[in-house]
Formats: sequence, structure tokens, C-alpha cells
Amino acid sequence: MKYQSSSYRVGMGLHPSHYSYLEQRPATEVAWFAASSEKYLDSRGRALETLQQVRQDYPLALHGSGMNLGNAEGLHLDYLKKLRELIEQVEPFVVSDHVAWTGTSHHHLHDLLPLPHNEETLQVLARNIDLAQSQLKTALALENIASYVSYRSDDMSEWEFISELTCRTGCNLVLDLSAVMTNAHNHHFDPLKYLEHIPMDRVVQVNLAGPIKQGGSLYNTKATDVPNIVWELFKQVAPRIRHLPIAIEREQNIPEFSDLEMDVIKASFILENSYEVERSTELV
Amino acid sequence: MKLSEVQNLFKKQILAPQADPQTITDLKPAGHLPLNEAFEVYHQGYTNRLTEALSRTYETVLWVLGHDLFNDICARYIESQPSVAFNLDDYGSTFPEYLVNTSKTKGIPFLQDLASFERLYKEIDEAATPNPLPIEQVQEILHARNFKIRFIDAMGVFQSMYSVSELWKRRKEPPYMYEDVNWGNPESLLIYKKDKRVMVQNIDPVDAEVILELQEGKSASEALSGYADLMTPERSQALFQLLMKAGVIDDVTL
Repeated sequence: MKYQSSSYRVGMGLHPSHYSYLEQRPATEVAWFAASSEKYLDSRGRALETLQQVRQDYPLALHGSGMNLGNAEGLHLDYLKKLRELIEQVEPFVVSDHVAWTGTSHHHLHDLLPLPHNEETLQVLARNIDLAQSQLKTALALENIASYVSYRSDDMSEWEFISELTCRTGCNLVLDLSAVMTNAHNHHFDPLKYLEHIPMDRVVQVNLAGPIKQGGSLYNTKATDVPNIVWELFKQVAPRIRHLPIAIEREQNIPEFSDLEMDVIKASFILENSYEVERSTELV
Repeated sequence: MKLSEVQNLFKKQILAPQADPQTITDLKPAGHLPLNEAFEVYHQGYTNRLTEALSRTYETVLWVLGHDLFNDICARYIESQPSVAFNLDDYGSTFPEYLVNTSKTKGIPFLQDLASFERLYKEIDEAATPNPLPIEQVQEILHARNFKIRFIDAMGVFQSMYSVSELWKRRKEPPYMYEDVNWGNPESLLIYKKDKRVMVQNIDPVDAEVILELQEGKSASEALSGYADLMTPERSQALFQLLMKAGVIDDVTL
């Protein structure tokens, strides 16, 4: 059974290497789980059965990376049909994917690839998001991604692009602070400027992960612990997002459950402390 | 340039990261990265993700080959077999056949069978936990003269000239020479899911043949008729008892 000492809604990714532990239904500090949608679309076995069991004890978000919303060739209806079935089974509180393309219609590249920030891309995304939301019968939330290239055809900044996208489609946002930090470092902008200009009222979830620094660049590998630079950004933005579900994300080098749970506790502590910071600021 | 054209160029660059003049015209790298290094990030990410997916499915093949040779073979396989499934874990269904055709693994005769076994294991693991016919109901019908058995989905028979299960049992151990494992004997395996666990059971080769014929939809008497000399009534009963205890019978019809 779930147990959480604080009222903050800090969750983490659901990883196959933790299935055995979670099947014992231990008390945890985790408020909710984010499940990678694609892992469960074709499963009828242990993965889906564990997901269903976890759902009995915790709220669940479905976080995909294969909808390919930025694909100029359109979406896979089969994918949407399977995702719709999964949504009906587990009733997630958020269904999300990324502001990215992940391959062409017949070739999956299994990566979150950047899109040009221009009018044509907005039209492609708006068309695909509209189709996805109507097929899924639910509002989508889209997460920002880290990128290592940009396009000469960009005619707006990333935050302008995301703002315009939410206006046109009515979609919500999942804010990946690690991707913001990665892009800010690599593309030379102030992460706080990014956060000031995106529509925070559309953010329904915030993700924290571990980018790594190599050769002067940041890479959002999500393969390490959340580093100090991301924690610092989280502390700064905490008063504005503490009412939202927060997730500790990890995609590679998945550690023991208890290690990720420590980050859940740390995030809860920072959120709680953000009130103290506010109060002391008022006193000063 | 239209978005679809940009994406096709980008894709080519990820799959074979040689600088394409057109790509360079349309893209600029982030920060201090040269463009070819930026694409190397995406190329490496693609190869690493698919290699990890293969290593999850073919864990014992990795154990046998070691990381260097496994990664080398995976890189060539990934180059020749683009991923078409949106679920990364589904990648690599043709990997067992590929292993036969690569000269890199010559001298390891069991490798294709080992990979096929691991693929079958994964498929059974991903099947729903079965709800077999209760033993009492099966027992009643098995006394009839003839009947047909429908098996649960989460079941398979695996036959090999090599003891692949001996290698598979050691997959979690630290790497050591697979030559030390006694893999030279033929084996027949019944792989099935019981409750939530996948079970691997050694069975007699004749029993395996009979189960395969039953699985094809033949009646018990048809399936046994080809093995009349070997399958005495007692042995036939033992086989059906084995299937019953394993919980692999979904239904029996007269």
C-alpha cells in the first residue's frame, strides 16, 4: 500500500527493474507513477499486470515517446487505438508525449528529435495533436525536449513556439526542467527567461532528470541522478509549481527503487521549504 | 525545404552520420558542438537504445559473446534492420536468423537456437497470465477414449540439438568461458507461464513431438498414433498428467 508522509505530489517513473519490489506492495514515499506508454501497448503479460496492480494503489500518468506528433507524414492510427485502450484500462490523470518527431511512418528512430520552430511545423503539430486528442478522447500534455541542433528555418524561439502551440491546440504542457537547463546551456539562453515566457497555467506536470556535462555541452541522457544545476532551477521555480505533480525521471542506468525514492523525498523537501523561503522573504 | 524533406535528411544523417551538404545548409549545431558531433549524439543514441533492447531480450547471447562482440554484431544488425516497431522492446525478432549468417559467430553452433529460445521466452513472458482448466475438470475428460486439447497461449515447445537451457541458467553469473558449460546434448523444453512466472521444464523428445501435434489441433489418438511403439498407455497418461500439473490446458473437448 502506498504511504506518503508529505502532502506534495512527487512521483517517479515506473521501471521494469522495480516490478518485483512493487509487486510486494511496499509502503513508499512515492505519490504517483509515470508509466512509459509504449511498454504497455502490446503487453498482456507481467508488464501490464504490474501496471494494473500499481494503479490500484497509486495515481498513474501515461508518458509516451512514440506518438511522433511532429511527423510530417501523420500519425499511426494503430498506435492511437492501442493507447486509447490502455487509457480506458488504467485511467491516467495525465496522458503526455513530446514536442518532437521520433521517426518517419515506416522507420522508428526511438529518439526525441527536434523540430523547426516555424509556421509549417506548427501546422503539422496542430493537425496531429487534433487527430490524437479526438482519437484518444482526452487532452494531451506535451513535454519540451533537449536538442543538440537547431534549424536555420527557425523563425521563433522555443518558448514562443511552445506558447503558440498551446494557443492553437489547447494542449497542456509537461515541463522538463532538465531539458530547459540543457537547451539553455547549449543554445545560450537564460532558463528563467524560458520559464517566464511559457504559459505556466498550461503546465500540468513537471519532470526532473539528470543531464550530463561533456566537453562543454549538456546532454539530457536521463541516465544519472538529478544534478545540482537542475535542483537549483527547481528550487527557484518551486513556489510557482508546488501545486503540480512532480516526477523524478530516469531512462537509463535505472538504480534501486530506494535510490530514486531519495530524490522523491528531496523534491518534496524542496517544495515544503519553498514556503519557508517565501515567509522569510516577507519578513525581510 | 518542406518538413517531410528535412525529416528524411535528418533520418539519413542519424542512420549513417556522414556530413550531407544539404543537412549542413539547413541545420546548425548547439553551442560549441560541430554539426557532425551533434549528429553523432543522435546516431549513438539510436544504436545504443536498440543494442540495449537486444541485450534485454538476448541476455544469454550477450553472456556467451561478451559485450564487445555482442555490441559489434548488434551494430551491424541495426544497420541492416531498421526498427519498425514503436515499442523498443519489440525490436530484434530476426536477430536469431541474423546470427547464423554472420561469420563473427562461426564456431558457436548453438547461438541461433539460444537466441530463438530467448525470443520464445520473452513472448511467453509477455502473454497474459493463464487461467487454465481446473485439474478436476481435465481429469474427468482425460479418461475418455479420444479428445482434443487446446493449450494456453503462454506455452511453447522448444527443441534443439544443444542444451541451451544449461547456458540460459547461467546468464546471471559472471562471464566465464561458455565452453565450460555442458551444452552438447539435445534437449526438448516445455516453456509455460504458471501464475505470473515463466517455467522452463525439460521433457522427453517424443513427448515434445506429441505436444506439438496436439497444439496443431490433432486429437489425442491422432497425435499418439505416430508413436504407437513408444507411447504406451502408461506413458501417455504420464504425459497428460504432466500437462495437467503444468497448468497448460486451456480446454479439452470430446
